[in-house]
Amino acid sequence: MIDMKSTLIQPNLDLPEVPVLPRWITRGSSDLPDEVAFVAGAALSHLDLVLKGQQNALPMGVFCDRLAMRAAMACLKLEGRSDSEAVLRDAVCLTRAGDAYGPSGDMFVLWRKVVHTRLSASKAMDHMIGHFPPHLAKLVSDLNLFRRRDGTPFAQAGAVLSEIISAAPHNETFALMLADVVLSREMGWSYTVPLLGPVVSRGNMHNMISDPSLTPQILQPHVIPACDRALQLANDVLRRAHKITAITPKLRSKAATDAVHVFLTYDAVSPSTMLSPRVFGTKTPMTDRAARRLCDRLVELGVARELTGRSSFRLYGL
Amino acid sequence: MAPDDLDLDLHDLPEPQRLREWMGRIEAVLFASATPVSRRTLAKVLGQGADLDALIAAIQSELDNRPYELAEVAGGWMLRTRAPYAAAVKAARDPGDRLSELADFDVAVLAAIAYNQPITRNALKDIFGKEVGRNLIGRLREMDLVSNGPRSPRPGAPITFVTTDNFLTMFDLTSLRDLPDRDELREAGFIK
Repeated sequence: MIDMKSTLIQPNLDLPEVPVLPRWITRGSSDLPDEVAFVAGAALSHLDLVLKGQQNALPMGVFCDRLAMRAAMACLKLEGRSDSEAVLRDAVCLTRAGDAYGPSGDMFVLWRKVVHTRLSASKAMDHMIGHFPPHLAKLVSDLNLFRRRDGTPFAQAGAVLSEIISAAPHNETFALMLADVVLSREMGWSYTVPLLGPVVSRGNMHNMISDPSLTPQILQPHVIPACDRALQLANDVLRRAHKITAITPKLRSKAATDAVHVFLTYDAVSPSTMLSPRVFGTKTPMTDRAARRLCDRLVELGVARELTGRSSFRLYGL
Repeated sequence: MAPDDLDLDLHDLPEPQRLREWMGRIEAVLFASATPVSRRTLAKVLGQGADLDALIAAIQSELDNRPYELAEVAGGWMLRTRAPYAAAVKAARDPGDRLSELADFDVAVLAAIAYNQPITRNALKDIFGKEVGRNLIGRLREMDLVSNGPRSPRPGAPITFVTTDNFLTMFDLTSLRDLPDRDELREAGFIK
């Protein structure tokens, strides 16, 4: 008799975890186009199930924000800038109202705006296009880029990318953004998950611009590491989110609870601007000092980190 | 006339004409300069007995009815159009022309900002080996070529500068990527 108990998989109830891609997907054992396509499809499907299954537990805000950071850094590389995460964070958190973010900050801000747009909202696409300069918005309507197309989500994303780079070759970032938007929309995800943005290289881009018909073959192999990295990040974010959510009852104030929500929504939190005088997204007041004390307490409790290593202009995050 | 030949003291002239000549020289030098002219520079064309401040005041009162004025700014004096005429000047201007108002050093600073943005005044000082005046930055700002960027995470949160969209338009660039390649400029000896 088979002992059924011993064959049961014991779930790990201590910390939430999502399954990462199985080895047969990440192994990369074949270059044949059909095989690559099959494996890429499997990877996307795996990610899809994870994202939909985790709807309530995975904080999409900070997850997508951190993917937006990676996408911004990769797109900046395409434009010849090699700024670090720290530079992007500072550009966004240290800019005062009315001032410019600078080129790197602009890139991060744009990806964030794309990523934080709820795809299921009505007029979501119009809202998103409003973030782009007019000549790109015009391109969207001229090419009717958001029309419903045939084909799998990946095929549609590839089509959007090649249409943009055929019509306007040097708008690589825009092409990658819209490809990720369409991919996420067609997969039925509630927010854009930057998958292609973070992984496409200058060489890939160059080859796609030279021959847009090659776009599917060039992009497909990237889907696997893209999904793999997204899942590793999801696990990382889940663990951190779980820890901070677990101690929230100990904080005993509405302001603190609201502040935790900000930590779950953004990659980095600047206490003096995002928690004070009011906690971002709420009407809850908090003094500058209280905000900084709370952040230090969260660090002491081991549920947040100070991200800059500086003694002033500090930024905190999960 | 070579600088050596310039008679500074004008002892040969009767006093009224002497003052006239000095005033004329001040006005001419200011007229010919795109940037503020310092006291020290003006001293090169005036004699020992010249009272610069009095001469300036005299020129200013003579310009009362003119649409331009002699203004004192940090760094010296300059001739500039009066505010009520700004609209007319703007209307007449071809947008591209404004760039020719920039002195060589202005353009060098603008280039340094374009390649290194966001960048603080202090960092610009390290590049050029001298302070970049607030007037210069003011000029670049007023022409909408440069604006404030993120604060630098140093004591005092100093401002950084970045170039604007208008900068791209004025220099016929689609994006910052179209700036001439830094390495090429370095090899050609335009930047260090």
